Parts: sequence; structure tokens; C-alpha cells
Amino acid sequence: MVVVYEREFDWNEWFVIIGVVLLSLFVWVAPKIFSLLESIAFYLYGVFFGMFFDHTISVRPWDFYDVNDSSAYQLIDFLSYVMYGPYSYFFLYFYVKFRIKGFLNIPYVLAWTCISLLTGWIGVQIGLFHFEKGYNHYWSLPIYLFVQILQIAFYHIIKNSKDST
Amino acid sequence: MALPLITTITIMALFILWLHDKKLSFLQNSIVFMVLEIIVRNNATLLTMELKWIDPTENSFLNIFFLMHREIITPLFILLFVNSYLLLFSLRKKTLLFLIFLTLMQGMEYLAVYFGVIKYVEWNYVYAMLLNTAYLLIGLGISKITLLLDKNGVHQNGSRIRT
Repeated sequence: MVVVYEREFDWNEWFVIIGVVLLSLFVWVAPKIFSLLESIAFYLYGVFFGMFFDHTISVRPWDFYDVNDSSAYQLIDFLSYVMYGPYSYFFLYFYVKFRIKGFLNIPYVLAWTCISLLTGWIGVQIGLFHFEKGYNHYWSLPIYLFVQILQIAFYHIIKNSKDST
Repeated sequence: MALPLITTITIMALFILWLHDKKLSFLQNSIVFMVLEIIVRNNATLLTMELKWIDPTENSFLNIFFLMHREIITPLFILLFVNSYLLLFSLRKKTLLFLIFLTLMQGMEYLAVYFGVIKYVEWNYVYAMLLNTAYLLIGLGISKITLLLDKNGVHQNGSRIRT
């Protein structure tokens, strides 16, 4: 059964559209420090993992939450996953720019986790996420940590394989 | 039986991919994997949740089979196919390789139905074969694009990295 939360084109839609357009524009105009393939991979990483968790824990049999105005899969849902792309791109962009190394990785990841939690909290307030079955936003905390640490490992594997050739 | 079997197949597929000669770099393989994964995942969601042509299991354990099939096995098989395909020169061998991988993917589809992970409602093996064929061809297309971009050494701003 499809659950409809609202039918209006309001803040959650604008949040997604502005997020995708504006942040992708920032990706486009930011000084280039990665090759095209690397940029594609780092952008896709966010889309890939955002979509993975949403298509896994927000669908049956678990179905912990719905995204946007209804439980049906809509175009705006897809765009909301694309919105994760610039976040993952800038996560590595600033990682490289600020030359994060050693134990500095910990505050860096924690800072981005706070940003992710804040963005998620805004998402809940504007009706982007609708939690069910007792799921709470802070449950996403280990997911954010895991995905970000994995992305750092992903970056280093790419960097090492490039350096070795 | 379903869960140990899919786990074994996944581990073996990962092991084979690790040992396999790869034409694509880690970065290119990652891009192909992620793009394919996004396509496969969206198709699965549309077919099961929206169109309801396939009925997925409500059993949490069997759902892990569904996830491993969707998230790992299908893109891994395509990566194996693409990396092998790009190393071959003869059209006959390429065609044979394509048929082998299509058969493997159809076999996985059969196992999913056999174990009750999915139930066909308005879907059948012919449609599944067409979809798997499309996945293999899309994988090949994406890999060729990544090779082209890498060969040209294109920088993010469109300038060339290498001369």
C-alpha cells in the first residue's frame, strides 16, 4: 500500500532541487584537483551509497523510513540520491586540500558526520524523511561513519594504484 | 541452504575477480561497478515495489540473498565479463563469453526463484534474459567510455592531463 504524506510541491522538493543544482555547480566551478575519472568516481560514491542504504533499509521487509512525499518511488527520490554526490565529492576535495593525515582523520570524519546528521535533521524537519518502526535519525550515525571511513580508504587505494603506475 | 550458497558464490566471484587479469584499472572498475549497481538497484526497485511484476520475499534471511544478488553478484559477474571481454580479440570467443555469462546470470535468476527469494508475477525468464543482456551490454558500454576518458587523459576541466 502506498502511503502519501503530502501532495504539495514544497520545501522538501526545493531542498533537493536546489541541493543538486547548487552543489553540482560548486563541483563544476571549484578549482580542479582530480582527474575527470576520479571526479566521476568520487561523485558517484555518494549517489551509490545513499541509494544503497535507502533501497535496502527503507524498502520491504525492513522499511524503516520513506523518502519525500509518498512511499512510492518517485523522480524526486532519485534526485535526492543524486544530491549525495556533491557531498562525497567535497568530502574528498577538502580532505586533499587540507592535507588530512594520521589522527587528523578522526576529527575530519567526525566533523563531516556532524554535517551529515545536521543535513539529515533538516531533511526530517522539511519532510524529506519519514521514519517508521521506531527508527531514529541517530541510527544513521554508524552508517555515516562507515561510509566516510570507507571513502577515505577508497581514495587511498586509487591514489596508491595511480602512484604505482 | 539459500544463504550459504549465495555467500559462497559471492566469495568465489570476488576471489576470481581479484585473481583475474584486468584490462580496467581499479578506478575504472569502481566506476563501472557503481554505475551498474545504480541501474540494477533502480530496476529491481521499480520491478518489485512500483510495477509489482516481481514479488520479493518478506523473509529477512532470504532478503539477504536478494540483496547479495542485486548488490554484489550481478555487478560482479558483469565486471568479470567486461574485463574478460576486453582481453579477447576473436569475435567467436567474445560471443561465447557473452553466452557463458548470460547463462550464469540466468542461473542466479533461477536460484532466486527456486529458493523463493523472488516470485514472478508478470515476469518470466525471457524478460530476465533480456534485462541481463542489457546489463552486460551497458557494462561493456560504460567500460569503453571509461577507457576512452582515460586514454584521452581528460582532466576535470576538459584539458588533457597527459600529452
